[in-house]
Amino acid sequence: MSLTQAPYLETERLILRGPEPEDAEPLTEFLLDRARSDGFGGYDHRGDAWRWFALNVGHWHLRGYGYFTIELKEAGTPAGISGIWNPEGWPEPELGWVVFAEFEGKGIASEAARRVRRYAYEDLGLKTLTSNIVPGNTRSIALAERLGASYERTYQNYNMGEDLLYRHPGPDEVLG
Amino acid sequence: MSQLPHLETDRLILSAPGAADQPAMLSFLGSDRAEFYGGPMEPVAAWHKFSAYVGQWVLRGYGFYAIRLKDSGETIGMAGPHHPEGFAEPEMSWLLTDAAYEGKGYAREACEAVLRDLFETRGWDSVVSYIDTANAASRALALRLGARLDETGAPCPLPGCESFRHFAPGRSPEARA
Repeated sequence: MSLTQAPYLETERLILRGPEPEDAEPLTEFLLDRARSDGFGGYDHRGDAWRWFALNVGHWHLRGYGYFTIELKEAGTPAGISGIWNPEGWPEPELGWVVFAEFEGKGIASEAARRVRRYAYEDLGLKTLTSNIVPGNTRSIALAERLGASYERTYQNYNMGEDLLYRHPGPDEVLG
Repeated sequence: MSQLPHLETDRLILSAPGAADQPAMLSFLGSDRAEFYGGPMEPVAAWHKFSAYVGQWVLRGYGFYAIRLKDSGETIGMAGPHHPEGFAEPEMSWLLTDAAYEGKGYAREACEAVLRDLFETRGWDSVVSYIDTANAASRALALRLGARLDETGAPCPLPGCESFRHFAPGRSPEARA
């Protein structure tokens, strides 16, 4: 059953593809790990985490874009997610990423986020992109800055409360 | 997008819900009619809920169909097996988004098509419906669809409701006896 029109993107080490049922388990594990998943709202119950997964699939169907599953080419296993997120109530389309615990420290998030950003500008035709980061998530802030994004403002996210909005360089700069 | 589910009846088209159904569904979830679905809720929560209904198709391979009128194309409701995490089994559900669509047999027509698909195409033996004890219309429709009160399945996971079970032809306990 494929309801998502997610394209299949590649980088040197990664495949980015639409969400599939087998991704639900590793993602649920991540979402229930509150220390790591605060930037995604943080969930306490399997049912809520499952609903987030279903929400992402619906997001693809309703918006035409969403979170890709990041797969390692060599291992063929899901290593995280990265994509463009813009559910109802969001300030504007966001470039998001997360790498599951055992895959951290290998530059996977950076490699995936760069590819997704190019896709957002080239294929979706977006003119600007933000990344919304919860205060204190120093890893994500460091990556946003390495990607060339800069802090713009702090706003109230309906789900996560106080949230930092970083803005990425635009299509001209990214696509050269 | 080649595998989009699609059913047709005399007056209705049933297909996986999409952006076209969003206004009608958000309006429904924001109204008092959505009490059994956790409503009435704000647009943000409604969008999340609706989006998760859509996503269930990929996770389970089945889900809610949007019900649209053939003539006008307008969305009038949803029907199909709903199966969130926490439900022991899929639950055949239906709703009409607005009172203006009631009393015309639309829900029955949609449910009959969905049940036929579940039993004949997908080979399910039975499917449960959880019905709010205060919802006389839904209870009456469940009975007209051939469902009967069910005490065999897991207890109804929702408060204030009763379980009814629909059986595929020849698969009811009597027929199998």
